[in-house]
Order: sequence, then structure tokens, then C-alpha cells
Amino acid sequence: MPDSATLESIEGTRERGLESLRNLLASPDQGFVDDLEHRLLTLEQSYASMDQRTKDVAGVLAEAMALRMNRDDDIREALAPSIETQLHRSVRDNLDDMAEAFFPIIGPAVRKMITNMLRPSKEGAAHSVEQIFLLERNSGLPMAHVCAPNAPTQDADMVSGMLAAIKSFVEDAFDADERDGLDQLQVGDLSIWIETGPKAVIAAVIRGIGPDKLREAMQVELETLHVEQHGLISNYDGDLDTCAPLQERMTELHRNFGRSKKADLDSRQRRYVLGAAALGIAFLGWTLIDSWRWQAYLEKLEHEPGIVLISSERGLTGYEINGLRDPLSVAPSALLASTSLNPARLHASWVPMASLEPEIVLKRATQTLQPPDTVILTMAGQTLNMLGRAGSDWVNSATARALELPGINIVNSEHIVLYE
Amino acid sequence: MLGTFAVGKTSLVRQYVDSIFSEQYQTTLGVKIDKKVVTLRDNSVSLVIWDVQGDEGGEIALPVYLKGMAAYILVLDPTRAHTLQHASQMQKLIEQKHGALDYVLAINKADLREQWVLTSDGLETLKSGALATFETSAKTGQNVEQMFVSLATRLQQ
Repeated sequence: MPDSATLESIEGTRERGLESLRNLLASPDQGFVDDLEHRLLTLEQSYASMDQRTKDVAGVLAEAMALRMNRDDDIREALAPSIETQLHRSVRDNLDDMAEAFFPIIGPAVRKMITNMLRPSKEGAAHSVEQIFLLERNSGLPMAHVCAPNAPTQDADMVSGMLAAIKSFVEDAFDADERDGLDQLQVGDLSIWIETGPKAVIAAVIRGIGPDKLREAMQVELETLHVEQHGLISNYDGDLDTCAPLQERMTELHRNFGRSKKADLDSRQRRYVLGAAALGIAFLGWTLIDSWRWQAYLEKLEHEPGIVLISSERGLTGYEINGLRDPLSVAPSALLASTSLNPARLHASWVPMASLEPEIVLKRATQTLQPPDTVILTMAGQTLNMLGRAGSDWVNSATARALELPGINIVNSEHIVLYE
Repeated sequence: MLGTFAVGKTSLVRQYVDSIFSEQYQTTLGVKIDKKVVTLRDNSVSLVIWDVQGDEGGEIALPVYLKGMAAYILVLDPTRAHTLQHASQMQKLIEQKHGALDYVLAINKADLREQWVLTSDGLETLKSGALATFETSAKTGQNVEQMFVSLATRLQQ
């Protein structure tokens, strides 16, 4: 019979053997399980970390949005209200910043508007014919070229070629009949009038509004040239020395229509015109910004408790405003101070009223009940809540008076701790 | 300037002509106008050069630009055999529509002679019809001036 020490020794040996066997059987998978546990832990930590989640989303946000926006309009529709609201808010709260941001757009827009407003119908408008080209129709080679003094010009051969190329391109690309092909190019106030004949083309580069008579003159001149100089035009081989008669005709055409009387205003008159235009632009710009400021002021008033706008008008002489106002509301003049509007130009007419808006009702209650410093009053709907410590006399009196005030139907004094 | 897409037409003339227009015109309008004044013994001749965009298929992208041309430079890239075939097609097309105009044949990329893959098929025909044939290089400028002089001399006559 083995003694107890021997039994313990046998038991220990068996346990160690089982442990070895367990490790032997499980060890190949243990590393895999440990690796999985480690990766799971890392993922959990990563998911739990707001910072990490933000970084992960930031890494794919742009691509994900681009992908989704290509697929449908859901993102645009989801973002649009926020963007519109924020834009609205920015105009209201940061008007000067917005005006600065829009300034580069306003200038050209106003200028364009003025140009359109001042654009006369036809005859008599200011214009200057800067260049006239007479081109051989097919090759685009210049047969004559007249350039006004000080007019910007480039190599006539290359410009003529490019004009012919553009003309051919448009006629070819849009399948236009050559006789009815490109007859005008326009960039801002610069236009190129083109008249096409069987053998030659006249192109006039005009700054401003060209008169119809110039167009007619170009047509007549072209017809005349085709009759009187037919041989010269038909056999043109690029030698400009043979084209003196053509050059004379184009010079004459330029002399007759080169400048309008209005374009011949002396420099003093021109300065007046430019000054008036500058003043006009400045005035329109100021009007636009002033209009924004006025709208922002009206919006502030409309959002202010205790103020109801009935009518408003903005004119050249000033601003006029009519409405109802609770005496406890914010003074409109204080709101005006936060804008850049001139207070002297504002004529306001306010009819007093008692507002039932909770903010005003609370102000009225506070003014009437004169709560001690230990009491806080709040409004919830039409219920006046009292909170804090006060004497029973004040609570009873205040409750009775509060119920007489407009906008209060219930007084809740459950949270008042009474003291003697 | 005529030839298949990327035979080096624009590169060939870029450094040797006067230009006021951006090369972007060629990709938008299909043509860019340059000018080359060639001084000959007695006088000088201005060549107004229409650098016409090439087409990969050997077609002329916008044949409307060929109206009124006095002569042309036909460019081919000897490192790409099909550009010779395209040049032949173009030359025949021009002859059909505009008559037997003078042309100069420019076998470009002379600096890459070891990469040439041209065979004589078709080349001799093109050469025989040309006013002159030049092996040119936009990189070294080889024969570029001579090419313009040859053309200007002919046009002056």
C-alpha cells in the first residue's frame, strides 16, 4: 500500500503529463487563436477610439462622396438644406465678410449690366474700327490691312490666317452655307464683322457698337471690288506689292467709318463720361450692399421676440419701417447698431402691443413680480414656474398677480421652499 | 504641315517659325497658324504655315483647312511604318481634290535612325513626286531651314 507522499507524487506526475499532452495537441492552433485575439482586440480598440474612427472615415470620405454623387443626387439633396441655411446665416451674421467674398463677382456683373443698359440700339453709338482686313477667301492671305493708330495689333499674316481658319472651322463644324457663314465674332465690347464675297473677305475689328452703315459699306465695297478689281483678286498670289489699289480702298473705308462722333469726344468729355460711369458703378455697388444690409436688419427684427413687422420700404432717401412692438422687446435701434446702416436714414413707426411670446411674458412677469434674488422664474408654455426660496407672503401675492398677466394661465410654485 | 498624328509636325517647326498663337489652338480648332520668313538671295518670302492637326487613321481631320494652300510639307515618322502609308493616302487625297500641288517630303526623327522601320515600298513613289525630300530632326534642327528654303524658292518662281 503506497503512502500518501507517494500518492501525491504519482498524482503530480500525471497532471504534468496531461498538461504536456494538452500543449502538444493544442499548440499548432494556439498561435492562430492568439493572433486572432490580438487582431480582434486591436479592432475593438480602434472602434472604441473616436479619434481613430474619425481618421478612418476621413481617409475615404471624399472618394465615398464622389462615388455616391456619381450614382444619385441623395448627397446633394441631403447637404443642400444645410448649405442654404448656413449661407443665409452667414449673410445675416457676417455681412461684411460675405460682401468681400462676393465683391469680385459684383464688379463684373455690375459692369456688364451697365454696358447692357447703356447699349444703344444702333446708329450713333460710340465705336472705333481698329483694323480692317481684306483677305483672299481661300488662303486667308491678307491683300490689304488697315490699322488705326494706337490700336493693338499682331502680325497681319498670322491674324488673317487665323480669322480664315476660324471662319472655315465654324462653317465646316456647323455645316453652314459659305454665303451665310460666320459674319460676326464678339468678345465683350470687341466685335469682328465679316463680309464674304466669292473671292475675297472683308473683316472689320470694331471696338464698341458698330453702325449698320458700316456693314452696308462693307457689302458695297466687296461687291465693287469683285467687279472693278476682279483680275487682281482672282489672280492674287500673295504678293502685296500688287495690291496697292486694294489697300487704298480699305484705307478709304476706314477713313469713312473708323470712328463715330461719339468716339471722337475730346479727352475732357471722355473723362466726364468715365467719371460718370465710375460713379454709376460705385452707386450700384453701394446700393447692392446697402440692400443686403437692410435685408439682414429686417431678418433680425423678424426673429426678435416682441416685434411684428407690418411693412418696410427701402428707398433712395432712407428706410421706412412700420410694426407692432412690445415695450419689453429689444430696442430696434440697438439692433440697428449691429449693422452698418445709417440710423439717421431710418424712419420707424412702432405701435405698442403686449406680446404673448414666452420670452416677453417672462420679462413682464419678472418686472411685475419683482422676485427676490433667491427666486428664479421660468416659462413653459403658459405656465410660470417659480424655483428657489421665498416667503409665503410673496409667493401668494406673486401667484395672484401673475395670473392677471397676459400669457400666464398657471403658476407652479411647487419648487419654492418657504421660509418664515 | 500635314502628316499623321504625332509625327512631329509641330515640334519640327516650333523653334524655326514666328508664332503668336498658343499650341492649344491646334487641339481646339484643329489648326495653328505660324509664319516663317525665308531670306533668299534676292528677296525674302513669307510663308504662312497652317499646322494642321493630324489624324491617327491617316485622314485629314479638317480638310476645310486645305482650301487655298499653295504647297505643303508632308511629314512622316520613320519609326512608325504606318505613317508612310498615311502620308501616301494624304498625298493622293490632296492631288484628287486640289490638283498637283508642290510638296516637300520630311522624313522626320533623323536623330533616331537606328529605330527606323521604313521600307522602300511607297517611299520611292512619294519621293519621286516631291519637290524635295529631307531627313529632318526637330531635336537637332537638321535640314529644317533647308526644307523651308526649298519650299520658298519654289513658291517664289
